[in-house]
Amino acid sequence: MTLVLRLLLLLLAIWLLGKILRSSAQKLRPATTSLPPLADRIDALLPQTQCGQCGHAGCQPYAQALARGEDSINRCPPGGEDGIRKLAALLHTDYLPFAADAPPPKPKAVALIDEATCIGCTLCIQACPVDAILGSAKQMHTVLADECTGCELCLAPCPVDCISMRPATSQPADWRWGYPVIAIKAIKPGSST
Amino acid sequence: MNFGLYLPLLAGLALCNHCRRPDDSQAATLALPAAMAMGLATAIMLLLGGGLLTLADSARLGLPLPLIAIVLQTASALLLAGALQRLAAGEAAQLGLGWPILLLNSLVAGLPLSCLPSVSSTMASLFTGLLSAALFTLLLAQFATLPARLQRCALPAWLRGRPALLLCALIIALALHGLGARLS
Repeated sequence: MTLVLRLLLLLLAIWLLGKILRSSAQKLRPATTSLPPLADRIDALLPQTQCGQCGHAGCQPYAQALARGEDSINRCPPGGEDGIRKLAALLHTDYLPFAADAPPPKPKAVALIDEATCIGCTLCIQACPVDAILGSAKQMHTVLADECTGCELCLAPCPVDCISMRPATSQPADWRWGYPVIAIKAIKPGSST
Repeated sequence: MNFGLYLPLLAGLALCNHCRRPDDSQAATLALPAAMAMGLATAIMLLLGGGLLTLADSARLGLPLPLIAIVLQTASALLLAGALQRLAAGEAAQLGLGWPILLLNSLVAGLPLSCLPSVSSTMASLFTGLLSAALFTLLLAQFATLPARLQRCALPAWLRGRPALLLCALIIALALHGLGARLS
């Protein structure tokens, strides 16, 4: 009886092993999908502001420098600390805080052109890395708010200072209730109010 | 049989099996099927070895039981390795079913068979082999899925990869030592 049971279990195990060998052979037959290059995976984590604050011409060159190991992961202020953590996890390195000389991270902003002041010089259009400014020579320019990454690269070339940065309007995904801010004052004991 | 020593040995054997796997892009895809295949191969070797041991015991060869068990476990490992080489050499190589590791697994996982007082109770030998194979398969599957789970943990850089795996193996071995000590 035990011998029959043993034989049955043996046959079952052999059949299962055969199935696994066959399925693994089928799994290996089609071309295996490989991961995209490291630079592309790094680029996907960057905020795509193309602001150049990292010292590179844009996000893709910075990603390539990171992939080659030629730059550190804490050079992207728009990405914030969350971006550094994601890059550290991808590159298997330790978290690095922002360098002391790095510009501080700012809340997301959108460029706004004062239409009355704009002279239509097109310099901001040439400076914009993401083509978020529309207009033509001696015609009024305007910013596509959805495309603007808030990189501030259009501010410097404007000869009449008609561009200002405004806080980006919140989307349903990131909208928060605006609680009133109450300033707290320290009252020294004995002082009259 | 001292299960307090045997069960951590199985954990070490599973880690050894895992570390022998190649570290390429296909390794992650085939980690779990390889673990299942190795577990089944071990079950086959233990069932075959146990069956042959029962037959050898009934033939009354007059040799000490541990020696017969070792010889038969070796024979069953080499038999399976030969069959795999003949029938599915490529797939077996990709799943890491080489003869040295099969032989090692057969000998180590089959230790309880050689420590049985007598194989007259064939049911006991059958269940010992099956339980060993089942536990070994579970451990192999555990080690096959551990690297992916460890990658999701926010471990410091110096602990990532092999050190984390070794620590996990140590914890599993300690837990199995406690379990085995109770069973013995």
